[in-house]
Amino acid sequence: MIVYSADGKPVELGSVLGRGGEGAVHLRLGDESQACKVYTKPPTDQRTAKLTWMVNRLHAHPDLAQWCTWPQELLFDDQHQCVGFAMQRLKELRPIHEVYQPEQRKTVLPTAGWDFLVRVATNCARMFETLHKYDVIVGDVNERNIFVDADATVHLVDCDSFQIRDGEQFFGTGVGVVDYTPPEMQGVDFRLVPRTVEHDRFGLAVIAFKLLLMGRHPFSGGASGDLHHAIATKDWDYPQLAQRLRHLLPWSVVGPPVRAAFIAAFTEDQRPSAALWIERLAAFEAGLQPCRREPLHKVPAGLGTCPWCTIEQVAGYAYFSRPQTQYHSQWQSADSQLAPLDAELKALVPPRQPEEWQSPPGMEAAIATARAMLQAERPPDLLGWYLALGGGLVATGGVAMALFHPSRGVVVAGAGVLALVASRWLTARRQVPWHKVTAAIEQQIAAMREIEAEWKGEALRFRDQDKRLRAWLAELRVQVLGVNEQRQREIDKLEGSQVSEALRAGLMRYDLAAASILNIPVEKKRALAIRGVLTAADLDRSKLAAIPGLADAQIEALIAWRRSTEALLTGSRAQGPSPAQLGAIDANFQHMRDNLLAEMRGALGTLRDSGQLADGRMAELIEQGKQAGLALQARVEAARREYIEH
Amino acid sequence: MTDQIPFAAVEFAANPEPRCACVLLLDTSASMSGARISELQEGLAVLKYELSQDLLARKRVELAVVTFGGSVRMLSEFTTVDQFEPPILHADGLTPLGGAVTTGLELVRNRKRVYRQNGIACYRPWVFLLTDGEPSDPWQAAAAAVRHAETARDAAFFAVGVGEANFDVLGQLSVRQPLMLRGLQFRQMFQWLSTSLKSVSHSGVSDELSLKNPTAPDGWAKL
Ligand SMILES: Nc1ncnc2c1ncn2[C@@H]1O[C@H](COP(=O)(O)OP(=O)(O)OP(=O)(O)O)[C@@H](O)[C@H]1O
Repeated sequence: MIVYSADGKPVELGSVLGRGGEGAVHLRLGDESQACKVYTKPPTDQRTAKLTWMVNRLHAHPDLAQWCTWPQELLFDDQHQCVGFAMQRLKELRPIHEVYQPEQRKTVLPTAGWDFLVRVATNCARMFETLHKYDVIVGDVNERNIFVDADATVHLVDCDSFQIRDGEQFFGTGVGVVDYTPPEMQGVDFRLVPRTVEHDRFGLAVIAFKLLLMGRHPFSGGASGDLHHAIATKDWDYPQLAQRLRHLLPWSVVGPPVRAAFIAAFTEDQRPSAALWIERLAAFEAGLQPCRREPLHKVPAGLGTCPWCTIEQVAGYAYFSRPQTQYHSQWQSADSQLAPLDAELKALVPPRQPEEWQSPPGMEAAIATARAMLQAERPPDLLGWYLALGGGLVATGGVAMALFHPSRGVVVAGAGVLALVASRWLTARRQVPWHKVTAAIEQQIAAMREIEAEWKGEALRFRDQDKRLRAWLAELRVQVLGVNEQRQREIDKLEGSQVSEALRAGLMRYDLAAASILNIPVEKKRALAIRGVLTAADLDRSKLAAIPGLADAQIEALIAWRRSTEALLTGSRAQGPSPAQLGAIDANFQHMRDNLLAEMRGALGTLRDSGQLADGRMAELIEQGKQAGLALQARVEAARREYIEH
Repeated sequence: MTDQIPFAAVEFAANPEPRCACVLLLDTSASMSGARISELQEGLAVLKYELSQDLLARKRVELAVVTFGGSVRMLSEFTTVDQFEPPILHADGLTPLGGAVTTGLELVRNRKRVYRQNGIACYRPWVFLLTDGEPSDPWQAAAAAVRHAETARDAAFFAVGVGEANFDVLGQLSVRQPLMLRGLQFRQMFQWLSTSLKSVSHSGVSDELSLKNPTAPDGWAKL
């Protein structure tokens, strides 16, 4: 849309910054420091005259526009009809009610303490003072028309509704809000009765009260609960109310001069001037000091206990929550924790390898002698054999002899039989026959070979287990070292999302409902709203494509609007991850790493135990082998003595 | 005075804005099923949306939802708009309208007491009734209670009929002229309600209600 300045130069209007009952406020394209208010209905002659007067007046007193968006230039349509005016554009559109409402303030200005709120009040007084100096009366004082910057400076908008008197000329305000209207004006028709500075002073006192006393309207505690009635009857009872309700700031905490100013404003009809407020509030702010526990708790000097701490304790609500200051990460690389584990691992000697089998002392020698003996000829049983032969002959001879000489023959045969029996007895006395002896020795040798095999098998088993455990430890070590990187990745991701979060937060402030977008009628916006598309942040193609009845051109128009809004916002400062978020990441990864390290310690323990177990088992087998060798040796010796050396 | 901390205190410390309580009494009897209930459901979303557009109304208007279909049920207790989640509605059963009205009046009375206990200013609460049928329970006592609340300025009671609603009964229930919904213009009705609540919650005047006439030719209601 194009409008024109007084000298006919075209002024192009950009996106809508805000909308009021009378018209829309646009960004001025080409000069983004300016905004243009364009009325819905053409302004009356009276209104045009007022704006003309205001623009002229500004040339004489530029400071009029210091704390408000005073009209700087009239705007016309192509028929030379006035359609609005240009003014300073406010960059930060943070209405004052977002600052005095405690919970809202904690979100939008998390680091603001009580001193900040007192400063905002002082600045409000400055704003009124500048206007009152030139007999300009705000008239319609209310919480929607005052905007607060992050540095506590304030600006008024809706300046075309100011009440202005200049000699004969009078331009009224005609509207007002009950909350900021003094008792004598309650129920009065604002179009009929002109406003006075006194009325503005009441409004200023209400604003200062809300800022200092945690968003409470001074008259909100009235018995009727009705503001109009409470103000009209001057039913002001904050001090008593604060005694009854422990979540309220005790009245005594407010400095006596400021307290006196409030009492005068609300009960005595001696409303302090803006200048007096500046003086008292500035002095009060200067005396505020942080409490010992919480730097955000600002307390008047000389007060014994911190009222904010007290309220937190007795009422359970923190009016000022601890701003999370810079986060100092305690994060360290895992090197110091890994070093002792590495050393311990290094000190653990792997168990013997199967190839390292060394026969127990004496075992092989015993086997060798045994084998040598077994390979020799089977030793003959000479004595027995001779005895049997001799016995047989004698017995035969005895039987033959008995034919001739029976008595002697019987004796000789008996002797022969005896010899035979003796030979049997001799053989029997040797208990084990030779083949049995050799079998036993073979068996003993086999058992010894079995010991060897078992040793090797055990060595193999322990070696595998050792290898497995060492591989597992190496794997864990890699994981422990990897946590560092993982943590960094997570932080990077968070920071990345924060940038887009900041943009998203910005886009969310641009309501679809308030925007004028070509091709998008109100009903369409409503249809969008029902499907959750409410602000510029919700506009993306896939979401829009899913909404029935939306023409392609409309989707394009919406996306274009989002783009232009984004362009306005780029440079919107990213907040960066909060200390709490960073702390949570650190804690998470620390926990994860601690678990891994604990697992490593566990694995090391198993490795150590398994090594000891292996050593014990191997030694046991060696001992068995040794004993078996000795036994074999003894047997071989005995056999030799018994069978061979005879 | 007891030594206990009333839980509500925290809520009102966090947000000390004056409150405008509004309870919606919604007919969810069987006859509401189909298009009616789904349009009504969307209407609730519209109400939340429209009210959320206004940063102050968001902190000042408190909504509660009571349905009456079969039995009277409190689906959503008073919460400020920024925390209000429109409940899901189901159509079923008869129309215990009288019980719903009594419940609604009691709710706003209790809520006002909580405000007063916590030193919170308030505007006159609204009780907004929507029905499409014939009361299935006695409603005469409720009518008397409405009259009493209106004269004592305890609440503003609005009655809206849909389809075959018994306009006669609504006329006897409500001190104000009951309205008939044109077709299924639930959304337009809730938009009007939102605009009215916004203007109430700004003016600071709780005595006189200067509302946009909903029965204008382009309005959502007829007499
Ligand atoms: N100079 C400005 N810079 C940026 N935004 C502005 C400026 N002036 C006004 N706005 C935005 O436009 C909105 C409406 O402005 P303004 O109050 O002047 O309109 P209005 O039609 O007079 O409204 P009403 O009379 O209903 O209070 C403001 O609430 C604010 O969001």
